[in-house]
Amino acid sequence: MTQLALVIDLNVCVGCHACVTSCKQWNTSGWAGPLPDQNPYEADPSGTFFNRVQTFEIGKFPNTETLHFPKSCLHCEEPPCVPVCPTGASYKREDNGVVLVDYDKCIGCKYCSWACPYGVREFDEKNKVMKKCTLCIDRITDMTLPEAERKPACVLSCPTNARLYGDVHDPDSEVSVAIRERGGYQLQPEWGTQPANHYLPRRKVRIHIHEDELVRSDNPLVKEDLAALPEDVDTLDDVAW
Amino acid sequence: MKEPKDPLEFLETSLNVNRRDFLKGSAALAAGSLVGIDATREAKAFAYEPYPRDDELTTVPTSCAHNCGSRHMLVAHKKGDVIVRLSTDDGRYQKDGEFGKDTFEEPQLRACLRGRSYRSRLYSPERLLHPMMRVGKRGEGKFKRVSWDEALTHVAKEMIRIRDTYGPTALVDQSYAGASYGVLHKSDQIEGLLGRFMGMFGCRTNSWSVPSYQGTTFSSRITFGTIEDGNEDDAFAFSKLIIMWGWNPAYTFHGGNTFYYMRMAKQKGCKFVLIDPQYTDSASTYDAWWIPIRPNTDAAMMAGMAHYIFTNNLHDQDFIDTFVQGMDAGTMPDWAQGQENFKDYILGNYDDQPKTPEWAAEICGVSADDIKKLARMYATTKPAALKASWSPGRNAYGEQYNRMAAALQAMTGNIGVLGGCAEGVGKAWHAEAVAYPYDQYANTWFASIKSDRWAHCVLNYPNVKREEIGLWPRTDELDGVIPNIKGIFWQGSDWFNQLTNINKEIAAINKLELVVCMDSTITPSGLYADVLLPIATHFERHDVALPWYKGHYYIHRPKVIEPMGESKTDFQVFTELAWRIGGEKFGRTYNPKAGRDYFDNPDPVDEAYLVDWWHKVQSHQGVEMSWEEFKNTGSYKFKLDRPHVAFQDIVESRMQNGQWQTSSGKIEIFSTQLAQTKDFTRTAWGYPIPAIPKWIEPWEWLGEKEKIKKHPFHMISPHPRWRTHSIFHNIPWLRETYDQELTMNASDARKLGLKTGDTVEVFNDRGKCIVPLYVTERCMPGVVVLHEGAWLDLDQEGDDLSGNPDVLTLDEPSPAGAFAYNTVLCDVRKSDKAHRPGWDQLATARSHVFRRDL
Repeated sequence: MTQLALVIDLNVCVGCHACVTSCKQWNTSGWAGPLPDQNPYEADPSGTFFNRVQTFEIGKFPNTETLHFPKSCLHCEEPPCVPVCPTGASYKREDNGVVLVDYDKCIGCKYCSWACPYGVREFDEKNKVMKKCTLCIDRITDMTLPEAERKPACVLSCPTNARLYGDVHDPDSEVSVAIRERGGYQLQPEWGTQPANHYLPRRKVRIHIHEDELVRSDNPLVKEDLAALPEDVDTLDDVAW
Repeated sequence: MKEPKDPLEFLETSLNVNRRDFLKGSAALAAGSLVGIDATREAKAFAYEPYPRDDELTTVPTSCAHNCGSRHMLVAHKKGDVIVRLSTDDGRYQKDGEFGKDTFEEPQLRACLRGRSYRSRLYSPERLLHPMMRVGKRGEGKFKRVSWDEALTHVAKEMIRIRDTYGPTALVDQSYAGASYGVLHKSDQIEGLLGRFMGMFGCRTNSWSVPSYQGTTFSSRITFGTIEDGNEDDAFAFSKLIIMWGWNPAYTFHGGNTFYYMRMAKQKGCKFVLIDPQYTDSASTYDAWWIPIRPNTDAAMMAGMAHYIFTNNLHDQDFIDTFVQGMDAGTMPDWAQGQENFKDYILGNYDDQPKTPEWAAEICGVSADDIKKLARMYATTKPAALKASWSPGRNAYGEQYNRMAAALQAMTGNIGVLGGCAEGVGKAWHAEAVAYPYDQYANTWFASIKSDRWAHCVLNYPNVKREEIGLWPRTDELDGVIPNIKGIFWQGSDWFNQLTNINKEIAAINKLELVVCMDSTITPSGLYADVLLPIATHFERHDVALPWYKGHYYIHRPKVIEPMGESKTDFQVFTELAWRIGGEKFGRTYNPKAGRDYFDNPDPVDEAYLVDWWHKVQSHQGVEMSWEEFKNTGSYKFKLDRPHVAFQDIVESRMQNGQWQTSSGKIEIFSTQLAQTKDFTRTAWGYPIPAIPKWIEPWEWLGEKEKIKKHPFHMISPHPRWRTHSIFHNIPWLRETYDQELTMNASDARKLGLKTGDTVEVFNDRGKCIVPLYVTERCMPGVVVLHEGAWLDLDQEGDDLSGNPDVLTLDEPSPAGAFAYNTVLCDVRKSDKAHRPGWDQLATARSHVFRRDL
């Protein structure tokens, strides 16, 4: 069975939010929209977003770190939001594993958002209907598009190419290879939900620079032997990162 | 399918519609269906179906258009005259393009969060749709709708009256690159459409200092003789060390594909360092070593680095001897023997104060060990890019920081080599930038002042000294004549909101007799105008987009939709005013290709200008693609033989005496021009600037023991990610994504008993603003950060509720003209007032006449 999913490289994401507004752009004008905005001009503006970037800060001044964490529906293989739905509005597509909501059946009871351990369901306060990331179902299943273009809007928008998309059940797909080779992990696997979306972890770069790379070949200091490092001085790799 | 009769009326009902309402009204709307609803299909709740798929829409590549730091492609998908959706570059809209094409040479120009939200700006309730004239007091925001004829008649009559009464310097043009950055419809501070119009009219006081980077511009011109000291983005991929000095591309998107190439550098093992009072997302992404530094002390830290490099013999003496003037005694010109050179200043041979890392540590709060470590890293890692960004230069003596950075770049031989960096201003590839008429009137003015001194000039006239306003020297009888300013034009500029010391501006604006605001939306500036002229956005006029300082491409910007409401382009307005003021002679001189009917039918004329411009592109830049093909393709991306690196040709040829565009032909660390200036009051700078880069103490900073007793925090106001200056402040999507808030270190917040979410007031003797607090470890103690560009929103007591930092800044530029946006001491305390994140319903009621949804 096919299980479509996103794989997000946290090592590349700069937290720019281009995926957030691109998602809103596509989906508010597409099959799953609209994504209304509440009180945009007043205190505490809020609205419906299928994709959000959460930012976490780590450490104490001055040794701080920031982690940007783009989060949308993870399209679980065992989605807890589906069995709790009293009307059958919440469902998982059998052909591609995408978790969706049928707005016509939804009564807005919010059971599913209580059941979701990831907090990714988005209640549309204006229309009183539960909404969520559809993986751009209206793009990825649009057979009038060439196959290469059947990708979610967020994937097509990312300026750093941090977002990969494909079938995680196909061992040869780009996403499966990335998960396998770059330590891809699931969010909170202990819930047993088996989220289809994966994240590639942050990796600190500690590459040792070779001496000959450091010194320009035509640098006159080399000839005069002035550029050699005194032994008691910290090198690049001793810097506290 | 029939076209909607009035696209505006149509939009009103369809854009903000929810689906239930939409269906209720669908019978009425069936005539001009926005989204292609097929009335014969069964209606389902929320069924937008068949929702508009891309192949049912017309696809039109265009671009974004603001002064953000880059220029990306936007692709409009429209139905009839309505843009239903925007997407971005996917590799198709270029020569030999195909979906997914994204190469090192021709990377995709993917739009950022702001660009992708553009439809919300295009169709925002804040759009100006009709000419308006003020009926209340200035700033009250009461206007009545008038006809173009009435508005332009008033403006033309007032212009003539003011010129004839007060002379040729009575009108100030405050044009900026905010709304119109294209080759044809150009708002530009110096040579744009407005400046040329007013110069030709014979009444113009120009504003010469550029708010973003005047200190940097000065440094680049003085040191290298040009502002084209930049590399293209791809050069970053070859660096072994990138020092981001106050640079945060993750927010500003500086350069079209900076992320792409910096990531590539990282993958190749490049190390990153950030010197900044706050830890940034860029630092986080590139695992940078963060060196927190007291604001405004960058030049001191650099001097400490220079001391370490000199005393450890890590400098590139051969490079210095070949290319640099005044780095040391041996490179001083003969005529200046005995004057101060840079090395002897650093070693303390003049003032008995060696600028050691320990000396610098006292000033800038960075440990001497860290300064030494960074100096060694920078001097021994080859090639290394010291990217001296603009924001640390926006301080009391900002030019000294940029000049000091240039000295470090030069002494380590990192100029003109791939992977090095000489920025600075950072203008790189040279574009053919001008399609509008360009002649002797392009930059004609009768006075030119430092841009944030207009209020000072108005309030103190005639008791103003020329150096106080940075009066540019002239060779005729107008030299030294203080302008008697009686009117302001804003074009592509929200300067009233964006210049320093807003409260002083408010006092000054009431003394003016004509204030004209030309913009596509109402702005805080607009509320203070007498006349509001609705200007078409770049979606509503024909143009070509330029890359913004970095990037080598052109993007075609067709007229995607008809101008909304009664909007006209700036060029139409100026042409019509020229005809009204000076008849056919003025009209045709200003716009030679156009007749009077240009006001109603600009398309053939605009096309003719652009065709001429394209011919220049073809002949000057070796482009073979035809204009028609360019229009059909959407963009033209140049492929360069090698990454563009500033000054590489000079350095590679190793010509003695160099060929830099300075008067000595060398990199002038010791400036010929400054050294030979006898009387600085006769220059536009007004006040003395040393011939070599030096650390000069700013008038407000954390080292000022007395002042920090009263105002213990230093406030900086960098660019936000969710606005381009003040543009996009009114976009719901971006509002919901970010808050305007004051960032403060956790230890400071603890001392004050404050926590995240508290509403605080930030204040000093110049003003006060109300804003929520965000407590973090990412900001150094003693420093608070408040992002610039919030829309001014004053309460009864004159306090700003939006959190605009410029009610606190000082309108005192550096000698070179750098805006001192980041030289501000303030205090913070808990507030009883409520912050207003935007113009809420109460506030926007003032401008309700602009809103279509009320």
